[in-house]
Amino acid sequence: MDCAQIFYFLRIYCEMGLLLLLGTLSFSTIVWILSQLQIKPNYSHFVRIGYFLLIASTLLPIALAALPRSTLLRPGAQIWSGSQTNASSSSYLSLLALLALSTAPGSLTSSNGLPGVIISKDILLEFSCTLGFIVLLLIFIFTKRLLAFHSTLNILSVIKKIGSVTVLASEKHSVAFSAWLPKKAMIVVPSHLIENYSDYNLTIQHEIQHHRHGDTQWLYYVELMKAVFFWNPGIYKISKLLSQFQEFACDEILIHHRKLSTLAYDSCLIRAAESTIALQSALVGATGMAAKNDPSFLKRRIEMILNHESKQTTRVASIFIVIGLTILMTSITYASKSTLQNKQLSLNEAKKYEVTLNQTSKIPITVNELVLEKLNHFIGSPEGRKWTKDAMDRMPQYQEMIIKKMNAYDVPEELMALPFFESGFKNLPPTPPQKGAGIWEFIDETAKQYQLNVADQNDERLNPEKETQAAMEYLKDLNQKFKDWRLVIKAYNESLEPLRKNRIRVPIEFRQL
Amino acid sequence: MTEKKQQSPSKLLTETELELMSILWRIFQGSVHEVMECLPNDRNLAYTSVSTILRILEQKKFVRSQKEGRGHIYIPRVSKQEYEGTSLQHLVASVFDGTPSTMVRRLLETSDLSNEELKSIRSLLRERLQ
Repeated sequence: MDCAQIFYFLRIYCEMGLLLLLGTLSFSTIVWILSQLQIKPNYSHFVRIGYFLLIASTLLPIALAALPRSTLLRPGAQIWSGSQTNASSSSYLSLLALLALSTAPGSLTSSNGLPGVIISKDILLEFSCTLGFIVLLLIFIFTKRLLAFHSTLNILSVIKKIGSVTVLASEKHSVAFSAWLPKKAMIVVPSHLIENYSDYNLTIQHEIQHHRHGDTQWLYYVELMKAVFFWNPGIYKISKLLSQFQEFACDEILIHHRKLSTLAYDSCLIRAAESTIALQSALVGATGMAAKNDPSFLKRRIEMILNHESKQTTRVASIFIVIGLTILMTSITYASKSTLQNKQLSLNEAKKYEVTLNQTSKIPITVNELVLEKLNHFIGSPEGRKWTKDAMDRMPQYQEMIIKKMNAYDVPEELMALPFFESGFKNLPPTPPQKGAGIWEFIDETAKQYQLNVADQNDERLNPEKETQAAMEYLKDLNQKFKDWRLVIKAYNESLEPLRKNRIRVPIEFRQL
Repeated sequence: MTEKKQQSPSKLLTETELELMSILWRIFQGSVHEVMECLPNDRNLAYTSVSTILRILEQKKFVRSQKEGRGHIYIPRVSKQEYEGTSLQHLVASVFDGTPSTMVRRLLETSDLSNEELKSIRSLLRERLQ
């Protein structure tokens, strides 16, 4: 697994977390606004909206990551088309690849010392491993608690079976709840409840409603999300909202559609709440009649049941909320895709460029780890990208002139990469510690050798045309010596002398590339 | 695994279960109706509740049932004495740290025992010691 792949998964993970957080935030804002407007949400719909939110925040980042980069939006791609030039993006890449080729064997930090914020693979790996470990640990703890919980259910006495749902009596639990295992739906009622037949009946109907809605199954998904996004307040908020809405939705249906007596139902709720005072530790994988020991929640529940005539959101409103959330979450994913996008090329991607480039390039181009590292410095780090983009913006003013001269001297156009990386097309006088000046960064000696005046007042290196002329002659001379443009580039970059001394060694180095 | 667990029912009864069990011990056996008739007048238990609790007792292996006509007849499987034993053992273990003598002392201290009762306890102890 290389750096790019780890980053890829981490990005999807971060996007999921972000969606969860922002989705929950907007959902709870809607709920809050409705409560301020005294409009009662349609709880059955809102439960489903909550589920939708959970599913969407999981699936959207995966779905969008599967799309090719170029569809719909092209985040970050602008850097290659920032200036209106004739060169296609692939030939710019060839500039980069060439430069990398020419400097890679030397010290990697020497060329222009631009700091790059590239997270090292080790840190990335370490981070994802720690994260994965915590998530697995949490899932393990949950599973263990779940198994322990369900094994206590096995010793309970079966009261009856309603369809596929088994009703169990428990002396240990003081409040009724439902639980679900694959192919096994259960309702547990406290033994004492059996004595009060009306309450018992209402409770069973309420809990069966939970099974009908699939609340008990969804709970597993929520718990899984809680383990995976343990750091995310969004999941805790949505889980709380959901569990409340699940209760509301069950109450709502029982009262409105089954025409149960609201009074009997309310007093049943209150009695259930009374018995939760002795409620044991939080139940795992269970959702219950009064499992939330929260007076304000009970109050709201009873109010909801009593005010069932009040205004309620319609189906259309729910659909609008879903559409709104979808649009919001999709755009968040897109936005995060452009900000969090890994701009680093992987070796495989770069190899593909290598093939296409070599079809047209006069200079053979090799892509390997060293080249890739350089390349990623220029296009994969914020500073590198800025530098590259600035250089590209300046290029057009010299491009036409340089290409004309290149053609005259029979120098391959790919060598446009030289001024590109020497100066970034900045026409500046020598700025210590660098001795070079002008767009070709000629140093004193070479400039004099090629008849350029290097006086303080009149530095001909700052005349782009004259310096380009000199550069062409220099490159031609070098090519006559080395008969290989790759060596020419290296000689130009590192000045002629050292290369001559290592004449035998250097080509071997290149072959290794 | 499930079977094994079903064979070891919880040894103690809830209050209501004990109430119904006591009736069955008194009348030896009975249908749901018969049990209900024996309940005190102010005890408000629905037919379904009684029937449910009797079925739970059956699952706990405290009673067995026989089909008779439309309904079932419930017959105790565990005698009153056996249950007294189990619940005392539980009491000793859970409240008196497993030391029965503490329990006896506490019983003698707190309960208002008549002379006859004390005498019968003494004779029981003698019997046991011999």
